[in-house]
Amino acid sequence: MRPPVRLALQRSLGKPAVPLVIAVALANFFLRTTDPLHELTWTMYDYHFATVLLGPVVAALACWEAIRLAPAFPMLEVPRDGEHRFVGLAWASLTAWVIAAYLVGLVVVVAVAKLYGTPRWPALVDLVAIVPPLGMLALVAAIGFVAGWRRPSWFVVPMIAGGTFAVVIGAYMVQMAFVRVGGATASLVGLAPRPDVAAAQAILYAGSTYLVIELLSRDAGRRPASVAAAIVVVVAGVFLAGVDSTLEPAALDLVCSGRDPEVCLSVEYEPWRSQFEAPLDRFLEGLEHVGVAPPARLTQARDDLGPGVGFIPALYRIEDDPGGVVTGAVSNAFVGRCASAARTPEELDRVFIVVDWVETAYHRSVNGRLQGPPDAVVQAIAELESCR
Amino acid sequence: MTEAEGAERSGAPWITVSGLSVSYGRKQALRSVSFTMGPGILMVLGANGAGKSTLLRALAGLAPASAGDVRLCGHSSVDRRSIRSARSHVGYLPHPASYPGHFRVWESIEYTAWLADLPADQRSVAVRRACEAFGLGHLVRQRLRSLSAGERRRVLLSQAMVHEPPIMLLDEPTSSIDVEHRGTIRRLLRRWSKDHVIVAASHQLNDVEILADRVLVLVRGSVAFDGAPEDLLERGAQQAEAGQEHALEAALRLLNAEWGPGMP
Repeated sequence: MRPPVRLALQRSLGKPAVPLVIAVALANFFLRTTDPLHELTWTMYDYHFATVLLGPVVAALACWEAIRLAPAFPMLEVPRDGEHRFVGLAWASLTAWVIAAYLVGLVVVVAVAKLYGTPRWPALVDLVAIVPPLGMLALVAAIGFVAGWRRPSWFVVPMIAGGTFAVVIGAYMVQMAFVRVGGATASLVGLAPRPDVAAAQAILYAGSTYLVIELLSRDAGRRPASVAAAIVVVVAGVFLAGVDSTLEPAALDLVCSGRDPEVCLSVEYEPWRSQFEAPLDRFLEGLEHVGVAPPARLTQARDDLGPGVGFIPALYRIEDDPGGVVTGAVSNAFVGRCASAARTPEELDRVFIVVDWVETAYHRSVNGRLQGPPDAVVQAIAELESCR
Repeated sequence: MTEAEGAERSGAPWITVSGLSVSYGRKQALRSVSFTMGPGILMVLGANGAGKSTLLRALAGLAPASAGDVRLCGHSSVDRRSIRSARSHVGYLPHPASYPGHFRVWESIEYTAWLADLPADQRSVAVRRACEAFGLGHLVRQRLRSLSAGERRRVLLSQAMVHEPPIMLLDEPTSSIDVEHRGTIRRLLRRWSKDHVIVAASHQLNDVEILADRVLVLVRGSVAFDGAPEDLLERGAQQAEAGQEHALEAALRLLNAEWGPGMP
């Protein structure tokens, strides 16, 4: 039987709450300290961090809605699956409004990023990465509904909001990968959300949401087979999504120029090229003066690293900290992958020796007092060969 | 031909209750209740706590029976396997009942029509018919929270009956309803009772005199009287003291005394 969808949407508390959801999502994005607008993947991924604040808001809204609807319960006992269908439709309506509001906020953020000058449009993988945060919002809405339906007291609303916030932020803090649906405090250039993890998260949230709604009624557990299947799905989702990283290196739209080093920047960072190359050139001249050969290539691509190739980190900070960005890139060329893949304390010590010297060298080259690298540094670079 | 029509033509009772007992923990709410009922109005009377609402809930399969059976149009509402089929023949008005106040009258009835599995293309007609039947035509756009208690009760009645089920279980159908609309509802129930079974629990003794084809009086969960309203009135009339007491009240008082504590 076709449900009265339009009517349900019309009466849903989600409808008047749309401005609130948009405001919370946008405030969470624009009032944070990072400024990722020039980098579209980072912008979109960071927007999804709004779920940490929106989760409690949506759970509270759903709880409130369930409390409003709870008086209908005695009228729902006789109709076939009356309670499930009634609450399911109300939950779906509220979730639909929340999702619509969330997507409106995302469109606003992308539009601002475009106005800011980012040359890219969202890629398919950016769109896939929208699914997990939406799944998380649907799940917290279901949890809020259950809480309000089973305990229709206004005291439950702040409790469910606080509880949801504690669980979500706690899960973030203990680095549970399946709960990380967005949020990055540094550039994601060269990285992209993992579609497999996004799919696993979506499965996890869908299964969990089904379980929560299935267990809603006071006559719970009437469909043991589907509940068992949902439990299997949830466990599989936790297992599949529970990987170390929700991001992976991805091909970049690069613009390369120059030699020794060739500097390859993402199209999104091309406007920053001159700001990066000016301090880099001065530093490389200094290094050459004391007999240190320049790196072959400095790049923002994370899948193109090897001996003599340095990854350029945090180029978005070039205006504030040119020395940090340049020495980071040059250090990476010397230490290669050792900085992140050092296997022994000795290797790590060598990485620090090289990086410390490069940073010191940069500042001395600016002051014109640069001297050749000490033997310890030369030896450390040679010993790191296996790691590079 | 519907199952209800089939039952009617075959002469089989639409409701068959045999040895029904319901317990809440140690308290026995119904004790071995048995009766059958075809089209007509069965009024269930009794003091507070006598088991009237429990009987309606047990008929609807909402109160688990500790013994006995209930069959609605041939389907057991005690057996979990057939409870859905049994309930599909039922319209149920609980007491107390309410509906979310932010819904409009029309919307609340349409929602119930959907839950009662009325096809989408038939809902508007059914809702309009229900609204007209209960005198709600001028209120369809009103929010439920803006209605009087009696108006809300009429909306709930129309919700319970929008799909015109063969069996209607109504707990206090005319409570809170003003005299004018009570008359309307009584006429409607009277008309429907020709081809529907209506089981109504009520404290309104006038309802019994005007509506009932049959009366069931419950005392402490047991059937203390089962018969025509005239018989009950006659029994009470002998006890009523020169018009100082309504004959039905006297009959109920008498039955309560006969079936009171210590009685079976």
